[in-house]
Amino acid sequence: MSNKALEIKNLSFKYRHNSKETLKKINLSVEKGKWLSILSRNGSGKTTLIKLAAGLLENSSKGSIKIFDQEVNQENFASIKEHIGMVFQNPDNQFVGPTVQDDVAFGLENKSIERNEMIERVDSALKDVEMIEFANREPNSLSGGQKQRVALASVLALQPDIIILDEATSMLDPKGRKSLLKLVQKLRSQYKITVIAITHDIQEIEQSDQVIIIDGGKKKLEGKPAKILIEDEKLESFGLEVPFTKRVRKRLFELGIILPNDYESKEMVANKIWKYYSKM
Amino acid sequence: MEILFKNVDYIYQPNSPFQFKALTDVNLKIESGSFTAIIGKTGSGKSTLIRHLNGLLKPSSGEVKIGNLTITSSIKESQLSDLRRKVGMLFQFPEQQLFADTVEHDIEFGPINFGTTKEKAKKIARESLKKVGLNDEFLNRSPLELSGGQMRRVALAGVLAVKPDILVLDEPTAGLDFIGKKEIMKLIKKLQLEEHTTIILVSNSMEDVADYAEEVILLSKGKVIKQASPNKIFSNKEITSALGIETPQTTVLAEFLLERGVDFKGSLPINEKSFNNFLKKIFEEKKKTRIL
Ligand SMILES: Nc1ncnc2c1ncn2[C@@H]1O[C@H](COP(=O)(O)OP(=O)(O)OP(=O)(O)O)[C@@H](O)[C@H]1O
Ligand SMILES: Nc1ncnc2c1ncn2[C@@H]1O[C@H](COP(=O)(O)OP(=O)(O)OP(=O)(O)O)[C@@H](O)[C@H]1O
Ligand SMILES: [Mg+2]
Ligand SMILES: [Mg+2]
Repeated sequence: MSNKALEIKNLSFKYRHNSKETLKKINLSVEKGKWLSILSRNGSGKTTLIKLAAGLLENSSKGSIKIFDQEVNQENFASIKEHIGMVFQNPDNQFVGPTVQDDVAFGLENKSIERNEMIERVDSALKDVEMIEFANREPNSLSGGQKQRVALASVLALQPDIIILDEATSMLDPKGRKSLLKLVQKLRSQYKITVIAITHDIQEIEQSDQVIIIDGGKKKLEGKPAKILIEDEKLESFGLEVPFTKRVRKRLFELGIILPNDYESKEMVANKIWKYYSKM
Repeated sequence: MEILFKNVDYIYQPNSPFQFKALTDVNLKIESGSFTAIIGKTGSGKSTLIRHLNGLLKPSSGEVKIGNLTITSSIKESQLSDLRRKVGMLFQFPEQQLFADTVEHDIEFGPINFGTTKEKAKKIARESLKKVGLNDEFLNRSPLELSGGQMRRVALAGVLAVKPDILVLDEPTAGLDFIGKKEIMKLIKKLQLEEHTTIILVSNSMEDVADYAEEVILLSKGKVIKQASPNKIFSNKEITSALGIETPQTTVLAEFLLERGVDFKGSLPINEKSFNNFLKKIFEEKKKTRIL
């Protein structure tokens, strides 16, 4: 298999019922096994972009989208689908089974996976997201965060080459969110899965390999998180959050305490403040 | 209107194999005009609790009092119409409350339904849309052909349009961009301060809770563990760590400093404003003693 999980060239897109172009000449390349984070304001085209990549919207532009070197189009849809597992922004749009376990099994049935293995995969995915006790529940009767956990389990059970997360943890409590992202990270390194994650949480991009920022339908910034996270002014100009520790750094600067312009964890910042404080 | 919960239990799908007790012996008092946040892990009962506030769910046992109205398991739907006018509710998933063919019709629906003239409702729709950060171009769009964050904003505009006395918000900022989050939280706070709207906010953002709420109700497995100020809740390490409740980022940083020997004089800062003040104070004090 090629080393390029996703390659987008010169992609533009316009919705039929929308007078404006939603995406403008996007170029993007993601290597197999990497984690890409996508950041932008509301309505900038994140969901549109990943739906195009997964073949769920038709690319009518001259640009091209390739998944593992294969053009994403209607003819190739079946084989493109094999590679991708997607968690939608609203989990309600994703549920198909009458019970949680049927729902997780659904994608596997289509893949004609042997029954024993299927049961095993469903069980292990539900255990991973801590939803095994809800296996017989109707998905509709779950709480918001429980729905998001099940939606993720359905994708994990498929063991896809590419996992796409469209704000997949937006309704979880902070600890729950961290533990699910850790889980995805673990599976990614174990199976060399490629992860494409949309988020509004600036802290979340720490764990990615590559970040892109979209604004006004265009790709405006791209780089490693360490580089993006220190671009205070640019982040602000794209309507994004400046990381917490960077905000603290700014306050300290105003008090005459100068910390290097790196992205640092809270603990590292605490060490530096303490050093100053105890020396004074 | 004051809100009282007395010994409220709520059981989903009673007498079925899926019977589930989502609330157990809930007792609360929420004062009129206050800003109360409800926090707790996934499945702890937050959405279940707030759905009692407009009679969408009725207690299986116990009672909920809102102003003069007492809601028990036997209350009739017809007795709830007045309440529904006074309590505005933003659901956790905005799609569940968007239904009209255009954004404009969606937002107008509430006011018209409650007797406002069509013309006035039109004006309200525009104003409400602006408040949530969307311009007039959205009025003729289909609410179901919007981005996730735009949908949540439209749903919120629809709730604000009826000017409720009690505003109940189930994760209103989930899926909003950074600026949207800040603006909407400020707008909600403004409604509390200027219109005396009672605000009940379910949130997973501990920073928002620390910045805006006056009271916090902490739920775990359907029970109220504690009702207190954000300061008391977030500085209660026993409770937060036992229940796996994350504290605001500021408090996490302050705790690291505390471990290293910084003296916070008994009260850890829970939001950036108080943390910044504290930093300023300690470094200025240090400077002074050094000069002396
Ligand atoms: N079905 C549709 N028809 C017409 N316009 C649409 C449709 N879906 C989305 N749009 C518009 O396209 C733009 C991009 O939407 P998209 O859902 O890709 O944004 P997003 O970056 O995912 O935003 P959010 O952070 O709010 O989820 C928005 O302005 C939206 O209103
Ligand atoms: N119709 C139902 N039948 C059975 N159980 C239900 C039903 N609806 C909700 N529950 C259960 O009640 C519990 C509380 O759900 P609720 O939606 O109140 O949680 P929550 O605190 O809002 O969680 P979240 O933060 O994930 O939205 C959950 O365990 C949920 O699965
Ligand atoms: Mg989106
Ligand atoms: Mg909920």
